[in-house]
Amino acid sequence: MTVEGNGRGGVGMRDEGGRDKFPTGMRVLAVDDDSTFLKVLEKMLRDCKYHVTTTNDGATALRLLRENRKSFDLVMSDVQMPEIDGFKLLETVVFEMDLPVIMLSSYGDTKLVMRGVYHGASDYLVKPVRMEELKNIWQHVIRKNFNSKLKNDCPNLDKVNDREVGVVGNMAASGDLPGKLTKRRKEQNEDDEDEDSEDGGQENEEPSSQKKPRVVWSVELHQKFINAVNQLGLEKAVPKKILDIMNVEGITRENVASHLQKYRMYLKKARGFASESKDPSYIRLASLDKYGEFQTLTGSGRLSSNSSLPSYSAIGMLGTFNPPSYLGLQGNASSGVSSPNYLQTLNSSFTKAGKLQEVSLPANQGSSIFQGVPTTLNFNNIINSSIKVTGNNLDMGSSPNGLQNSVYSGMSSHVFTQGSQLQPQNASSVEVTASASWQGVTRYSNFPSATLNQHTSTNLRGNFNLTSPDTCDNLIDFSSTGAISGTLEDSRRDIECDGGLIDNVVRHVNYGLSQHGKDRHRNYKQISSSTSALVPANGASGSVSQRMTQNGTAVYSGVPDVSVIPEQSNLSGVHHHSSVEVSYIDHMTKCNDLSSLEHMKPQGSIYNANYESFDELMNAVIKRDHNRETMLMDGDMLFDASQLGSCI
Amino acid sequence: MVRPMPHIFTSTGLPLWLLGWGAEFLRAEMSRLLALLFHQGVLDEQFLQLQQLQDESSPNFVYEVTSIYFSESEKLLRNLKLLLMEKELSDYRKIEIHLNQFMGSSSSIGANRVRNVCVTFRAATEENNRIGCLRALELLENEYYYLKNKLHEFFQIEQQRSLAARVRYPMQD
Repeated sequence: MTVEGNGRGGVGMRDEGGRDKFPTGMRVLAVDDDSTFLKVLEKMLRDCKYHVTTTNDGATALRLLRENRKSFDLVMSDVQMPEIDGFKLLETVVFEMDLPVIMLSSYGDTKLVMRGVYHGASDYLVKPVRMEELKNIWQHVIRKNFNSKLKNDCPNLDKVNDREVGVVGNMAASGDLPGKLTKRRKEQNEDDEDEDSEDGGQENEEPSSQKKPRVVWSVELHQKFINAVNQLGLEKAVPKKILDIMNVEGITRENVASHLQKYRMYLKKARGFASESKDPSYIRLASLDKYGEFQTLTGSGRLSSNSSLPSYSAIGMLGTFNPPSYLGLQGNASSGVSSPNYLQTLNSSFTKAGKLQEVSLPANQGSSIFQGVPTTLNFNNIINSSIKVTGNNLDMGSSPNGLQNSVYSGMSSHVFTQGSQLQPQNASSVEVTASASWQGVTRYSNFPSATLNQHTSTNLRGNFNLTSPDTCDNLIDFSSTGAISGTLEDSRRDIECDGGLIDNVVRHVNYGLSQHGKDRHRNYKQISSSTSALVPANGASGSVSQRMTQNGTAVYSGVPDVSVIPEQSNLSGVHHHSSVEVSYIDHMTKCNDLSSLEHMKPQGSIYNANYESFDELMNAVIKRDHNRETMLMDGDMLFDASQLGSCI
Repeated sequence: MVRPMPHIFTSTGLPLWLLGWGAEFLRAEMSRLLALLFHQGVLDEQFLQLQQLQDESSPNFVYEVTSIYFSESEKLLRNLKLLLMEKELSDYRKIEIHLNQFMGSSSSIGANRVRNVCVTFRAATEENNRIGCLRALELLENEYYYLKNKLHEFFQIEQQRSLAARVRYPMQD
C-alpha cells in the first residue's frame, strides 16, 4: 500500500494535529432495543473518548441520520430488533448515508455474520462487547473515508486500490497481486476496447492508458433496470428485453446480463435469509432455473446441476465484469434505493475475501483475465456454502479437465475444487480467514464453543477459562479433584440456611437413578453438584439441573432429555448428575442426618477471616478441601443402590 | 467469633452499620458474596468490567445498569410466559426475539447462568419444542430470581458499607 500523501480524509485528519486528535471525539450513534446493553456500551464508548448518541429505536436513528448527514461518523446497531429489521437499517445507513456500520449481536454464528457482510457491515461484534474491541472501531471510519478519497483523487488507481485498500490493516496482500491486477486490466482493455463509456461515471481521464471504459451502474441506471425487470416480471426478465426497455445507450446486453445475474443472486439471498430457508432443494431449483436461463443466453455448455456458481461466473466473464465499477455507487445513492446496493456490498465487502482467494489460486491459471473472477467466485463460494446444507456442492465431475474445453465454467469449478481441496467445507477456507480479519472475531469464534459445545468435560474446563480467568486456575483445580468437595462450602452453608432440602433432592433423584448407567457418572463427576438449596422457594426439581452449571458453562444436555420424557418429573433430565450428588450426600449425611454436617464444618471457619480478594478466598477453600479430598472422592462415589436404600 | 451470613438487619432491627459493623467487615462481606456468585457461575468477568466502568463520573453505574436490567428482564419474562401460554403456539420467532434481547442484556452485565439458560431455551425454540421451552422458561425464572436476590443483597451491603465508611464509631477500626 504505497499511496503516500493520500492518507487524509475523514474526521479530524486534515493535518498532523488533527490526526493526533482522532479518534477522540468521533461521533457514534448506537442503536439497540436492549437498554441494558446500550447503557453499558454508552459508558464504554464515552470512556474511549467518543461522542455517543443512543437510541432504542431504528426509526429514530434513521431520522437523526437523515436530518444531518454529517452529524455522525459511525453507527453501531443491533441486527435483531423487534420493530425494525436491523439488516435493513444496516443497508440503508451504509448506502444512503455512506457511513460505516458495525453490527452487534448476541450471537456470532456464521450465517448471521455473513448476512451482515452482505448487507454492508464494516464489522460484527458479539455481545458482550469488550473495551479492546471498541478502542479499534475508529479504523472503519478511516478506511471508508480513505476509500472514497482515493476514488475521487486517483481514478486511475481505482481498480488496484479498491482491492488493496479493502484489506489494509487486516490482511497481508500477496506481493505479486498488483501485477496480476494490472495485467487483468490490460486484458480487459484489449477485449473491450469497442465498448463505449457509460453515462454516469466515466472517471477515466487518461486516454493514453487505454483503460477499459467501465459500465457504472449508477442509481438512475439501476433504477431503469429495476423498472424494466419489474415490467417484464422477474422470471421473464431477459437481458435483451431489459436492454430494449431501458433504452440506454452505451450498455451492452452482456452488461445487462451480468447485472441481472447479480441481481437475481441478491434477491435469492435476501429471500433465502428472510425466510430462513434451509432447504437445499430450493436453491437447486433456483439454480436449475438459472441454468436454463443461462443456456438461452449464451449457449455455453458444461454446467452441472448446481450451476449457480459456474453460470454466474461465466456470465460475469462474458460481460464486462469489473468489480470496482460498482463502487461508483458509493455515496451516490440518494434515494435510499436498496437494490443497487448489493453490488457495492459484493465488492466492498468481498475485496477482503476476494483477496484471499486470489492468493490461494494456483499459478497455472491460464489467462490472467480470470483475476477478476475470483472475487465473484469467492462470493459464490460463500453463497454456496452458506446455502448448502448437506454438503451438496458443485458437482466437480471432471471439472479440472474442463479447463481447456470451456474456459469459464471449467475455470470456476477448478477454483471451486481448489477451494474444496483446501478444506473439507468450501466456506471455511474463506470464512475462517476472512473472519480472522475482523475485529473481535476471537470473541465470535470462541463464543459458539463456549455455549454450544456442552457435552464434553474438556469443553467444560476450556470454557470456564473464558468466563473468569482470575478464578480459572482455582476452579480447574476443583474440577480435577472433584468439584464436589469444592462446593462443600456453599452447599453446606446453604443447607444450614435453608435446610431440609436434602431429602427432597434424594427423593427426586430416586426417579432417575435406576435408569442410567455408571458411565454417565464419570462424565458428570466433575460437575459440582451441591444441593438445590440455592433456590429454595421454587422447589428442588427445577433447580437441581441448574447446579450442574457450577463450572460456568451450561451443560444443559440434561434439558433435551427433559423434553423427551415430558411425563416424568423435571428431574428425570438431570438425574445423572444427581446420582453423583446423592452418593456424595450419602457420605456426608450418613443417612440424612443433617447434624453430621456440623462436624464437617471447617475448623477455623474461613468466614472469620477477612478475605480481601476473591483469590484469597478461593485459595483458602481449596487448601482446606484438599485435605478432605481423599475422604470424599473415591470409587464409592458412584451410585450404589444399597447405600441409597439404607439412607432413604 | 463466627460471623453469620450477612443478615443486614439484626434481630434488634438495626442496620449493621449503626451497630458499628465497620466498613471493613461489610466490604469483606461483599467480596465474599461476589466470590460465591463467581464460584457458582452466576456472574462472570463481565460483571467485573461493569465495576471497572464505575468511576467518579458515574458513581452508581453498576446499580443503574442492573436496575435497568431487572426491569427489562421482568418485562421479557412476562412476555415469554404469555407467548408460551398461548393455546396455539406457532410463532417461535417472537420468542426468539425476546430471548435474543434477554441474552444480550444478561451477557452485558455478566449474568452468566441466565445467559446459558437462554442458549438452551433458544435451542428449544429452534426445534419448535414447546415442552422444552416451558422447561427452559422455568429454569430461566429460577436463575433470574436467584440472581436478582443475590444482587439485591449485594447492593444492600454496598449501601451500608458506604454509609459505614462515612460514620465513625470508636469501636471501629
